[in-house]
Amino acid sequence: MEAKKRKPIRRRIQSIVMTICIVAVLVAGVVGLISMFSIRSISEKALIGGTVQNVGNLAQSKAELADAELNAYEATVQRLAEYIDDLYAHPDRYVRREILPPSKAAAGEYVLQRGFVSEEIKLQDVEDELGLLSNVEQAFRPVILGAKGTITTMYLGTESGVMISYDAASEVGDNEEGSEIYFNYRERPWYVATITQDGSSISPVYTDDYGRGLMISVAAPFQNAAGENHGVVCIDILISDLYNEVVRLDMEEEAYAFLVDSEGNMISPDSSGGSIYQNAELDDSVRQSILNRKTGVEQAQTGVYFAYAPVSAVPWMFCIRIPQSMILEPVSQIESSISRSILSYIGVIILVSLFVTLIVGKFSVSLTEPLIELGNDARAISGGDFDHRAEGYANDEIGDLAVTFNDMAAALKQFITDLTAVTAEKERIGAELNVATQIQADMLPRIFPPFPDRNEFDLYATMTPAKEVGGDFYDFFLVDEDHLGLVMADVSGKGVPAALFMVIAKTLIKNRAQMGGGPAEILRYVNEQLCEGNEAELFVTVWLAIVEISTGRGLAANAGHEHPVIRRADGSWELSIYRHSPAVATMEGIRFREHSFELHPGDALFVYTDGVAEATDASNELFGTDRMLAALNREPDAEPRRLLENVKEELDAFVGSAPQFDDITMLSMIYNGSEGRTT
Amino acid sequence: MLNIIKTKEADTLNVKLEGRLDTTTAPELEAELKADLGETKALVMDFEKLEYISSAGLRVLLSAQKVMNKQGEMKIIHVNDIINEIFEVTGFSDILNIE
Repeated sequence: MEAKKRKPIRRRIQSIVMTICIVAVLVAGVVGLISMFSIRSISEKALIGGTVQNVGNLAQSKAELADAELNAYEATVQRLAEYIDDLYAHPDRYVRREILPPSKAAAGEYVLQRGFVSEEIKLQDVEDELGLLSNVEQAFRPVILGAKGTITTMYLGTESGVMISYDAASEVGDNEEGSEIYFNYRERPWYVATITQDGSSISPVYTDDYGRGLMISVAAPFQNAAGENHGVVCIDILISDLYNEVVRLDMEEEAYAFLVDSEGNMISPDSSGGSIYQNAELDDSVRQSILNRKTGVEQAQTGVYFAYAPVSAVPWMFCIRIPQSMILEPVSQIESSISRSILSYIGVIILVSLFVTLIVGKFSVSLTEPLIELGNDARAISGGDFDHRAEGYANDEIGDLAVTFNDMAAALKQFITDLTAVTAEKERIGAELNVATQIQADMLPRIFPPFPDRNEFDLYATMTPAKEVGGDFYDFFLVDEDHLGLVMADVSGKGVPAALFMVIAKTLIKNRAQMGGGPAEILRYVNEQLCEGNEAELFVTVWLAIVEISTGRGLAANAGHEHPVIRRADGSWELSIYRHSPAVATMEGIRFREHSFELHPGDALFVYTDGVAEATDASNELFGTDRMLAALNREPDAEPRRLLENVKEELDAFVGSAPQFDDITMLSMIYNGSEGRTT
Repeated sequence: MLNIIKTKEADTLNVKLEGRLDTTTAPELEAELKADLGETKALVMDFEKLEYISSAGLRVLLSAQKVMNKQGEMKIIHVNDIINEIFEVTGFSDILNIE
């Protein structure tokens, strides 16, 4: 299996926090931008709408203001005319004063100055009328003073050819000092247009004869005593003054106001003489609206807004020009303020993110550091240092884990200590059992041939102990010169009790046998002895035979043991089956059956324990007596040692790798006859 | 493998054995019997399905026989040919009460 890519917890926490921060910054930025654009469009609309309305209102109110101002001038002139009417109506009520021609000495002061329409008019002919008209100073003076400079000149002319001017510019006259001046005012528009009228009128804009700039004149006729129009009184108003008073806007330079007369001339101090047809900022639609005296606000194709409203006192239009950029200036201000806020907001978020990332980084270090330490501690413990302790952890889950590790280390140490002790104990017991097994094996006669000087028989026996000390034994001994005792036995059970029982049984059998008597008698004695205090309830199966060497006659007792196998000379191996007695030590008072047999020269015996017949292979199948007989009959005439080897070979081949549960014990004897071996 | 089926009727304990009574399974039977023999007057062992009995198994039977000799009786029923041969060969047929 491929190892998963290592992802440290610290790195994971950090990347999660970083991701959250980045998403937050992005979302904030996007939301900010969207709201900026929507605010921008909303405010643009609102501003344009508001400004358009404001500018339209402004244009209207300015036009009204101009109206009011012009009407005030007309009213003033009307009053002057009525005053002069009164002079003519009641000449006897007024004093007469002299009016002089313009004099440079009087420059800078408001004085009345006389003039005549032509040289045909002589002073003496009109002296009384001049004297009477000198009273107009009473009316002119307050008007001039009250007008605060918007009215530059006041004058009147009569049908009788007299002209009186009231101004502070006596020096501009082109007459020689003290001489009369003549001025054909009757051809001037102000006079011509007014003398036939009933009421006041306002002249179109014209350029002042004295170079003071654009002017308008407001004139009104007055009557003589007969009630006929006798002359015209007029005041001159500098457009610049009117403009400053009424038109000028307190706006930035790009926005300004101007008046347009009926001819399309733009009236403003700066654009003297300019025409709306020459102004490229206007388009035809706007020009048409202005000429048609409409009221409204319009955006020319050039992008400039124009507000216009008619002035009613004169055929003028009041116009305001205002560029779009100026209207939208607040929008760009709002925009830049919003983007500043967005930037600073993003900046704050980035700072906070960095701060949070730093904190989280430190936190995750504080989280993983103990884990790494604990890992080192665990490695130390697993490396065999059970006295190592994981110490110095906070009282949290990791601390709990550390405590668990410590407990584990302590438990491991205790366990290993115990295990060592137990192992040592087991080893000791094992060693002692090995000694016991050795002693047990040593008790069996193992020197072959056992009786080198006796050639009447050949004898061989083996015991292959199982792992655990068991209870099998064989024995052979000469009871006397002519009798051979043969024993094959198996103690029930295993281990030390069986081994001890075996030692006792073997000793008792041999000792009793050597005292003489048949096998039944011997076993009866041994049975009584073994039954005494046999708390473990062990018993031993025994095959005991006493053979008379000289004759080959024998007696055997079989106490619950396996069937012996016999081969007659030149025959094959066969089981010798007869009824057995119970095993020794099963019960007190047992009488054992005795079985007599005869051995002839060449006959052979084979006895064994259940370790042979009941050996099992890996599939738990028994070796059985049939296989055992087959092994014996492989070489039926072989000498005892060879026979045993054959059986053992077959047995090993059969068992294979299966463990050996029981001792394997075999004994074989071949009877050569009293004459001894023939070969 | 050994199945031990125990049924108790009053003072009688019926034990039915199935399988092999050998070195490995004998201690089980010994423990089972030890636990129940206390008040038992009659022990009946059914060997109909017993396949094999080893010397370790014989020892357990012998122990039980000795205990029952003191407090009542023990008998073995339905002994099949294989087991009967073992009893014959080992001489246990002289000791045990086989029906």
